[in-house]
Amino acid sequence: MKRFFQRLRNHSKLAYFSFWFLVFFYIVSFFADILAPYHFDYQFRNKPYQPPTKIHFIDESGHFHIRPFVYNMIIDDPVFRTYREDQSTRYPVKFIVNGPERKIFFVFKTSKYLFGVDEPAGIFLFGTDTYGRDIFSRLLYGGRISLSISIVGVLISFTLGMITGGIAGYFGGLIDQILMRFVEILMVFPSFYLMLSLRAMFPLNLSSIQVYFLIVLILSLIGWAGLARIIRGMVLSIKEEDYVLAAKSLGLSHWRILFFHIFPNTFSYTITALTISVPGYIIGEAALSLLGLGIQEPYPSWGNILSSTIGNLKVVGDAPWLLLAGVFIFAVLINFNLLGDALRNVLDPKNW
Amino acid sequence: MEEILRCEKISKNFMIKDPLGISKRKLTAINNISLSINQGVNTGIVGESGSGKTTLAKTLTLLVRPDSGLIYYRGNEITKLPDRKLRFFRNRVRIIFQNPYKSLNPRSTVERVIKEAMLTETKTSETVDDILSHVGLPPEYKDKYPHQLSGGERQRVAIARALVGNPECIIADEPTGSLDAMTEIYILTLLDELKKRFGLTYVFISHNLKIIAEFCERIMVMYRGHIVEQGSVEQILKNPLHPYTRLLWNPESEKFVRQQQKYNYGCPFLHRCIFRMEKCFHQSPELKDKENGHLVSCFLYE
Amino acid sequence: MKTFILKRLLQLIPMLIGMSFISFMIIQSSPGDYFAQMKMNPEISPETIEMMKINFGLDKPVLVQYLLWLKNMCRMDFGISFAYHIPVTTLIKFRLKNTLCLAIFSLFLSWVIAVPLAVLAGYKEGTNIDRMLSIFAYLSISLPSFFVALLFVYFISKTGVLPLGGTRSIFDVNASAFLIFKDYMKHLLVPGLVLCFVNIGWLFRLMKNNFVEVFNTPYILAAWARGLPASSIIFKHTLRNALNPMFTILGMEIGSILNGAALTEIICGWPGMGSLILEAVLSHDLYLVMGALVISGFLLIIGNLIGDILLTIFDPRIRLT
Ligand SMILES: Nc1ncnc2c1ncn2[C@@H]1O[C@H](COP(=O)(O)OP(=O)(O)OP(=O)(O)O)[C@@H](O)[C@H]1O
Ligand SMILES: [Mg+2]
Repeated sequence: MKRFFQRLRNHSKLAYFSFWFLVFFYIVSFFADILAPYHFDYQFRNKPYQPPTKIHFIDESGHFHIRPFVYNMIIDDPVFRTYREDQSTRYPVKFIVNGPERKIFFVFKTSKYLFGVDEPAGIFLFGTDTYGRDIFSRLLYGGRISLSISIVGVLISFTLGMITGGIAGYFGGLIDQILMRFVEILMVFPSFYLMLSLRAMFPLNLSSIQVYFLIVLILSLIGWAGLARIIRGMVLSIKEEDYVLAAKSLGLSHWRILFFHIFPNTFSYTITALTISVPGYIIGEAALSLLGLGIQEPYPSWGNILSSTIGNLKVVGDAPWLLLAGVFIFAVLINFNLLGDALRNVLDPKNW
Repeated sequence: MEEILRCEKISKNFMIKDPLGISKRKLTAINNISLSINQGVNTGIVGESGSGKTTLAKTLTLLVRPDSGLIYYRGNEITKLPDRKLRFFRNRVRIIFQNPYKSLNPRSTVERVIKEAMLTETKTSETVDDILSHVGLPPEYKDKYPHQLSGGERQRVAIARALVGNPECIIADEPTGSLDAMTEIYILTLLDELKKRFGLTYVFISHNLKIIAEFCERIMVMYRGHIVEQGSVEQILKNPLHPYTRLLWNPESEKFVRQQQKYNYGCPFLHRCIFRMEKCFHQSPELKDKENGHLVSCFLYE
Repeated sequence: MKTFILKRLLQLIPMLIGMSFISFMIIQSSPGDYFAQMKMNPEISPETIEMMKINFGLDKPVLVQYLLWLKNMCRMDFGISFAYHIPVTTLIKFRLKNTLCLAIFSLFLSWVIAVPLAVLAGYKEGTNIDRMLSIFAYLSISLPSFFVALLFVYFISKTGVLPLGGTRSIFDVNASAFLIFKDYMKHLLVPGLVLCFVNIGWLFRLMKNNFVEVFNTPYILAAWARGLPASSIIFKHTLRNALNPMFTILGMEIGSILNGAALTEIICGWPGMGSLILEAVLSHDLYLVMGALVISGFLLIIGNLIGDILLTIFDPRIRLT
């Protein structure tokens, strides 16, 4: 493991950075409950489309404050939604604040968040949406949904692909024929069309939990086929290797050979394949939610935060910060791609 | 003399596909081979590269199943037995591979390699250390991974693995083929010692005649998947009959430029044979007994 | 060659059957009886319902239904759309034309841009030009199509240089064919450019890798040693060999283009297959979903077939007898 990080860093500093960037992103979004100043559904009805709150250190009379502060923003013109700062009171930014109780991972209760300001002022690092909800908080919570879908989905596909690809490649024969024909047929469909059709099998109005698992299910069903094929190919070539034959010549059982000799030697490829396939899940979730078929309001996901901008060009003009969801997606994707490319080289036994 | 292993007319073909899988070509790696291996009689198999020696070794141990023909272990037919019913056979007949750089799982430590070999063997009281000591490796080597070992050390681990559980026959496929001359001598001495100590019977594959002559009592000469000559060491060394065997004995006498097989009929050695006759173009000779178990397949001796 | 194509065509048959069967099963297992749903719909006449009932055997067992549906499919009859009350085939035909235009346009454009850039970057490997182009390729690969489309639509709507949404803004029946074509192309430009942008990145990368690989073969080095002119080495020797593997890509690309096109169409308001299937899913128009799914799979199969055939034509290593 240590050697792996060493190699990754030697191969490409950028990819090494990408790795830690992704780890950071995942951790941050998983701890959204502590890090987000507001609950994703908390609305400031009088502050729709408020631009990002400015954080000040120097007040209007020129005094410097060590503790940063914000001003309350007051809507000036409700039609054009112009805001001005009400500089009469300063609202210092507080750290470790108390607030309504939230549950981390649906289990641990917390009523302390990392930072916040007293109401009626609000701290909106990335502005608010049409209901006056904090986009920053929603992006964190949304990241939790979007990113966790990608991880769960990848793990399910991976397990399925490993089992079917492994069995098909190792045992060959009729099982192989049947499984691979099935995989080929699944791969004949363009994934977007397959995704929508699978979505059409279920009612449009489902509870959020149901939708969440539905998305995971659909995405892993689609992603599984490709992985199974890759793994089958690898198993097919590894099972002819001398060390596998040697294991066989000792009279070891098939399962032992599969799990101790063949699978471990596919890992370097499968890890790369997994890294490269994560973006597909993120895009898939985003696309479904963007089209209103995925995560539903009030729950946030990167896709559905972005969906409010579709067909509503005026909103994009007024509140371009809504596009930040797209930037987040982009940031995660580019880092996965960078990491995937580096892994491809680092984990390739040819380069050892 | 007890017979351990016998095969009758086994053949193995490989289908060679082009990258797109559009056209296929059949390659016959071993063709109609019959042989028997008797207890205490070490058999050497010689032949140039690509003559199918490795394929024969893998087929004899049923790691590759023959397309046709039968294989008997101590009189029982085992050709089509499923792997799980082959344990009794696999514990008694072991194989050492040609290339120690490929025959060890890159993700297993030496200890795991040996432990794994002991899994199917319940009777042994030996420990990993004991087994490593048979091949002259110190116990510290237990925790090493293959990439931390030299070629000779790897081959010793592979030999140790084959020794677990007291086998009676070891098929050694050019065990020194990818090692340097010094290491080669080491490994050969080791194999020789083990032979005496455990009463092993070797099937020794090599293209080095001196080694074969030293190690074996019988020799088989393979050419392009066929056995072209077979006999005792003296017979074959002193009186080589087949033109190919003579060629092997002094390769400088090769007259024809090596080339792809031109003819797909007649004698397999046709295109390189300096004695070829009209008959050789039309018929393939059979392996026939010339004198006292000296078999040869050539029309020169009919 | 002929036998190869024939063989490939024969291989298609089980593929098509499997594909249609899966499509059928997907729709079959969706909840609710769409037959009943259709009856409730006052806008569908009882005669239509009766006709579909007979044609598709809606009261028969599932397998019979599938076979009937398969039979109808072979006659290009996918049933009637619940939402539009016209045959699915008619709807798809119109949308398919638009999607194909979009796909071919962006495919063409992205190849025309990506291949020369890749040759340039491959030839000047390691220089700043190469690095800049590679960064651009990363951007293009990592930006999701819908996000590019959103940004593009926003930009276009701000500047208003190009029309957005639909396929035409000239509705004059007397307009000349050329004008109508020009108008169509103008509308095509926005989704076409978006799709081209997201497609260029990986095309560029694949092409560059191929080029560099071929460029470093002994055979090309020998050509340098022989003193052949650089242009001949680059274009005649390297490029030709580097392009060969790209033909299989062309087949695979149909799939990625269709996927990208779908979202782009929806966001840019281009009436193609992607927006059609979305509308169908939203209105639970199952026959339409099924038709669109089958057609999209069919396109991909055809794409792969074309890729393979091109490869066998151009790659000298593959000899067909
Ligand atoms: N798995 C396989 N698939 C296809 N062809 C194979 C396979 N294994 C062996 N062959 C072919 O069979 C022929 C015999 O190979 P084999 O490895 O048995 O030769 P060999 O006598 O062991 O040669 P060497 O002395 O180089 O080890 C060769 O032409 C080889 O290319
Ligand atoms: Mg060999």
